[in-house]
Amino acid sequence: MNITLELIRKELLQIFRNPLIVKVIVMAPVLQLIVLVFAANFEIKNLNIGFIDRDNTSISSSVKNSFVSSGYFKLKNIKKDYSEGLKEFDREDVDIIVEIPDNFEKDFKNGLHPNMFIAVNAINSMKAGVASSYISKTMATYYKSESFLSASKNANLQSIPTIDVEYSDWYNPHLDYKSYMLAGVLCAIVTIMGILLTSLNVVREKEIGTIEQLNVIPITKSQFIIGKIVPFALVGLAQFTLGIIVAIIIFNMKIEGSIVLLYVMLLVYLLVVLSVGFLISIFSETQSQAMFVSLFCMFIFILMSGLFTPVESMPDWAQYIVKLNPLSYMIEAMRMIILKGSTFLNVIKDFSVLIGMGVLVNSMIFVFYKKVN
Amino acid sequence: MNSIKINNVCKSFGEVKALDNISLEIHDGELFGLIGPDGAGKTTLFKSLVTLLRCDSGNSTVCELDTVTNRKEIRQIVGYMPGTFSLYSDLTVYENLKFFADIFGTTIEKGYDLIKDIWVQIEPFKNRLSGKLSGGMKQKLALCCALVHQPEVLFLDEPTTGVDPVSRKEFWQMLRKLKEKKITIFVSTPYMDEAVLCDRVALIQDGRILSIDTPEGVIDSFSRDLYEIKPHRIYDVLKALYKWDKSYSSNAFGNSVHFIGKDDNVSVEQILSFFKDSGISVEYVKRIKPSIEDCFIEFMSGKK
Repeated sequence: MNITLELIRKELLQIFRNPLIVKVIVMAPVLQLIVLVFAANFEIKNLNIGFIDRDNTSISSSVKNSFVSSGYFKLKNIKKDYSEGLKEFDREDVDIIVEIPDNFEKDFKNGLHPNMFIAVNAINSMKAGVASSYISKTMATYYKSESFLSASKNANLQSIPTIDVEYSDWYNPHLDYKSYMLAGVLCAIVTIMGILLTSLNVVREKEIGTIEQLNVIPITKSQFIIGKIVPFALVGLAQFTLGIIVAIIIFNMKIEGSIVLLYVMLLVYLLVVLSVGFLISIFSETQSQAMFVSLFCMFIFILMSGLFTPVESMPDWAQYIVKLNPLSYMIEAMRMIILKGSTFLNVIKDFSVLIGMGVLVNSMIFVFYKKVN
Repeated sequence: MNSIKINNVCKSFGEVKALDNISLEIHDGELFGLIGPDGAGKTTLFKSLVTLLRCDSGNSTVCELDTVTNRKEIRQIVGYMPGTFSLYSDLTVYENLKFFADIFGTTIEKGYDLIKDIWVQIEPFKNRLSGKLSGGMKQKLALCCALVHQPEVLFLDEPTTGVDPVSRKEFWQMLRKLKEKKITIFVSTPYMDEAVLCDRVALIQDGRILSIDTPEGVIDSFSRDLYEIKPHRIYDVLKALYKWDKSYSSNAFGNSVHFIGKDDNVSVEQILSFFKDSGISVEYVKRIKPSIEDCFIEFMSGKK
């Protein structure tokens, strides 16, 4: 046991001897949280809308006004016709073109269900999707507005029964993306640092030759593995705590669930990622090899985790890959605990999967790490 | 008693036979030198003895412990100093030493008696990062770290390679002192002149042991007459000797040439007259006692 403690002590000494690493450990969670959470926001505002009003009636201008007052759009009047609008598309000056045809009000009043033309620039498909949903939202609001109701009173309309759908957003009533992103970004930071630090560690000992010294000393494999993983788990814990503090102070994040549970999940997760880093280190001969492999792993982990894109909207085969990704379980559990206040029983699936992965990766380390060539 | 026993050990890396049927016995308390050129298999042999490498066939023991089955016990009683400097350059001199003491479950105080003579030389720099030490200092620190757990057998893989002549001399003095403390020392070196400082030496080349003897024994086994020729222009002399039908071998040794005739009838007069006929002027020719380097070159040329 003493020997393991000595290994841990030496490792921490080396980590804190390197001023750059210490700075990165401290700055990464603070800066990344602040920048990423604000930047990686799904809310899209200030969509430029080009409005072609050929009708120029009170009803067409009330439609226009409802777009402006929704707060999502920035209006740009297009004087002529659709071809002028297309040019604006080409210049990326507008994102949406709304065209109200001739005789719009007249047709409406005659009960003819006039059509309105909407074109959305779908180069950025996500933005386009969001834009479309904003448009329908805006129109839905418009149907309930005074100006529409008074207009339709005069219109020769058969009354069409409609079903009103009432939404209520649970656990995140203000649809605040920040609290949703915080949990995920925090996990991503811990992942990046964890994998990088461990994967570069053992291979560095290989490069400078100290691994031979460590291999001739009488310690067991498990002592060695613990001695190499615990120091970085401590670093991960420190980073996570720092991140939580930043989230609470700057973003007013509220942790609905138990903090103890949060840390239990974190420890289990750290076991998995640090072991993955360790495994990469065992298979690499040089630090640059280890770096490339861990970058690859980190990309897969982060992009396939449901951090930025919901897992449910991925194709089936991709969802299977997500099932192999430890980060997806961790992010899921974190969001549940922080936003929903889930208890241990709610996250027991994530917990047991992560434990299973930890055991698997560690047994691989046991098999592949050889003290004797 | 024998501290180290090596029986018919073989190890190949692909096509290359790094160790080819090596057998060797090293006595208790002996300072044993393994001399050989780069790539002879010295490091491979060391690694197999300190349990870092498993051999293809044969077996070896260190202090009666088998290097395969008693790996853990061996690790407790051997000190190993690899050929390249392999300490933590981002830790200080003292932190390195303390780490290696702690990791063996001992303390610097317990091993102090053994390392004292060496430690006092590097103690003034104990708070310096070990990466910032000079080459000789690094070797001394590495030796301290290999000794701090009071090993019974010390393996030093080319400890003096890349070290200046004065430090080399100092290093060997330290080894002689350690020998007095009853530690068996197995040291490898590519420098032949260091062989005379060992109790016994083995000459290794291409994974095979060419001879095992005391340095005196090695010199005595040299049976031919050796002549030293001091030329004015060394290249002319070597070229002429190469073509001479009475020449057996000629090698440049610093400013002079060491020459062995094909049969023992070649005399100083004959050599002088040969040079006279060839029109080459030499300062002197004299018969000399062979040095250990002459013997090794003779062994390695494979003509013996």
